[in-house]
Amino acid sequence: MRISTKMVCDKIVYDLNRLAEDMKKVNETISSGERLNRPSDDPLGLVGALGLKSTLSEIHQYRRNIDFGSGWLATAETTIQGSMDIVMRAKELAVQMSNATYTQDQRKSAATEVDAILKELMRIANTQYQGRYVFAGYKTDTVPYVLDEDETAASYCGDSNNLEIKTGKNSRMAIGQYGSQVFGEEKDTGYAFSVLIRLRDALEKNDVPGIQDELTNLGTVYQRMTAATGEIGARMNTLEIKKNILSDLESISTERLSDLEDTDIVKAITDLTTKQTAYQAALVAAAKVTQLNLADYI
Amino acid sequence: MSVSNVLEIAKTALIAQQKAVEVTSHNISNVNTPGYSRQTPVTEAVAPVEVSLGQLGGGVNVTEVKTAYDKFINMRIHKELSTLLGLEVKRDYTGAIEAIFNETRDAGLNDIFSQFWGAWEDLANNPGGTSERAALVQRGNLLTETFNTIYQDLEQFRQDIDIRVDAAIKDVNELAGQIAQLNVKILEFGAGGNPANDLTDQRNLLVEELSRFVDLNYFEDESGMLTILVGGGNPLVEGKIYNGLEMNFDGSGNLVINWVGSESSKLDITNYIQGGKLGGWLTVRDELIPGYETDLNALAEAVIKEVNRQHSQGVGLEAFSSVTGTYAVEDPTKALKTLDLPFGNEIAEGQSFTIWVYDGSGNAAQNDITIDSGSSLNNLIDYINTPSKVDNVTASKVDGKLKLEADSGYSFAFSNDSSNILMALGINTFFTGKDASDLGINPTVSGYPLNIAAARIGSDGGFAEGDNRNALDIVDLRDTACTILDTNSTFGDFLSSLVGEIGIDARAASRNYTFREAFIKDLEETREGLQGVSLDEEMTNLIRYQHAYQAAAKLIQLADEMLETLLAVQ
Repeated sequence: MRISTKMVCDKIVYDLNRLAEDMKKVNETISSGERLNRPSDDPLGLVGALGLKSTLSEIHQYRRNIDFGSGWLATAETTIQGSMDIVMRAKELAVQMSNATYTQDQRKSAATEVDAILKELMRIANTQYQGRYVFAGYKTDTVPYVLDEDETAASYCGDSNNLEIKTGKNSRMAIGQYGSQVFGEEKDTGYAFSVLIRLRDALEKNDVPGIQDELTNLGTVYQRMTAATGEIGARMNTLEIKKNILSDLESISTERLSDLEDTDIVKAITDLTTKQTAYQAALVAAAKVTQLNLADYI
Repeated sequence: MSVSNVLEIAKTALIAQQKAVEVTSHNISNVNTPGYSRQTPVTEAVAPVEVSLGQLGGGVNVTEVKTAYDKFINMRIHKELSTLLGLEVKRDYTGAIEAIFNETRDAGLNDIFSQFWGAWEDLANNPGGTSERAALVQRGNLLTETFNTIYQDLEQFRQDIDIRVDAAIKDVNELAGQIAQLNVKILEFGAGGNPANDLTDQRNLLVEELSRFVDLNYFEDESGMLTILVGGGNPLVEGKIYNGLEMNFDGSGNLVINWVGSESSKLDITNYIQGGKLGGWLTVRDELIPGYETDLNALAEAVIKEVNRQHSQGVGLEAFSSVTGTYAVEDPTKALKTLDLPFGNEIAEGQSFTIWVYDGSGNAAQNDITIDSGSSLNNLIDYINTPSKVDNVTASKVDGKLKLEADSGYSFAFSNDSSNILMALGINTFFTGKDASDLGINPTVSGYPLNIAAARIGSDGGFAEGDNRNALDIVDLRDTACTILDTNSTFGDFLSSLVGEIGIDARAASRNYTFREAFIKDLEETREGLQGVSLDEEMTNLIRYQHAYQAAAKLIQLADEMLETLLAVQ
């Protein structure tokens, strides 16, 4: 085939260009550190990467939710344990004062202490976490327990809903217990506040059978609180487990994402060196070929 | 058979070799001229003369200067060039489009979506918080703006193409004119009996440039004039006559290319243009980009629909004293379902929604409103305003939108909408708009974030600050598959597959281009081999002609000496 003069130069230009472009592409992956600089670099890889990024952001969010939930549960747990302590104290008093050896005056003093316990329990029941009432159900801006004027009854002003958090795709967990679940329904005999009020009144009136009734009821109150704490404990455990699972999932996803997205620097640099060598060889060849000219020899 | 004959023969040799050298020098000076085809002098022995001995030759003649132009390889190259340029346009635009989706960096739609859902989850963890609400509005704006921007960028590409097509058509028309003029010149020149080689090369170059713009067919008639057909057989150039192209837009805003013949007869050849830059631009502008826009719009539409549907079921931190819908109705007397409301066909006739009216002391009145078959906006307004139906709330129309207003001291909120009427009219919704171009945040929510409906109303009409059920339900939308176009997928999956599709298109366009380019390079090399000038070859030829010239000069010298000898005879 005939070789025209122009053909030689054209081909050199075209091939050098091609080699330069290849080098540029490899260079790009090294300087950006990323394999995927645009969707066309690896479309299917990108689809996978997008899914993984989504998963990772979801995992971060679930962790935030779980942290919030754990904080809420921890507050509730501490609160209920505190309640249990003072209810236990009330029980001790009731046991003592139901003994015939105690005098009316002593019982009157006990009544004062029980009154203090009542107010303390009420204070504890109105605990807040991050500015929200923990035992008010959804009515987190309303004080759940209010003592009426003559201090003969405590009303519950919250509702009966359990606050939930999202802990995973399609999975929620209830972290809130509303007041009645911990302190009893208002109309029941086992309603913590009524029990304390009646105990206080019985002590005041020196009514020993009354005191003994309330002793039994205090048992119910204490049991309910124990159950509530147990429930909280179980939930905190579940959250801890979920958190660990999420951590593992996060590591795996991050690794897979890195495989898809990040440049294998060693391989890329080797690639670049190879292409550079090829480019140099092409340059040398071009120089040699373009020097050959019949006019030099005639 | 005389000495003078020798002179005569030698003279022909001198002239012939001189001509050959001229042709060779022309070749040498044009070694780098694009489109130049090598010319070769064709020498023939002069017809012999009958003499008594037999035949005696008469020397040499340059009968013609032949060009190495090969019309077959050129025709092939022109066809391939049309295809290549079409692919180049496609490659360039898909490359630009994948850049605006920006998904490989952390500012793409995928990440912005993640942030949006994250904001909803943060709100679910603290429904009473104002900073969470403000953050949600901000992330929502980021989402809507990104959708808007991507759509506008895509439209910008289409407008960009309009400008390019306009300029290209002017170029095409001018090229057609120039080719026609060359046709005339070539004919005139050729009438003298000699082919106009350089003019033909020039014309060929113009045809090659033309084939970059649009795919064409051409042939040469006996007089050497070129006829060029474009777009399904319409003559762009026919001898000395040339026609033109023009561009226009059809009813749907698509680009139309017309062939304009004599007497201004027009023909729509848009569908016949397959290659060249015009072909590429037409495909990108009216097939490729609209395809992506459809997908983007479908995604935006699904997001609006699902989020609004869920949002309208809930209640914010306060009830409304007044609210206006975001979608306007053209004819308030026609059935809502049949009108052009963006989400009108979601309306479930026979289903109902509840509107709770609160007085100043916290008492709630429950009003269930059923959307009967064929209900119009006026029907709904009249019903609400009927005494004892929905007391203390007045309904009215404002620019075709439904407006509800509570009496002084009263407020209202919604729940349990199975009819989708609230979502269709844009009441208590989060987003406004119908697709990616006009997606926005409802001012009711962006102007007063307390209206973001994170909670739901209980069966007694009450609602609480710490209620996060509606927010959680909206968060669940992220993982819920819904119908988008003809697929059933989550928002994230649909977006991924759209971006994947663009990536695949871009990669395919790039690879196709590279492959074709290499193929054309091969063809061009073959053409160069056939037509091109090799300096070494020309040098060698120069030597050849030079020696022949020297020999011919020697002949003349010899004949001269012979004549002198003759004349010296006494």
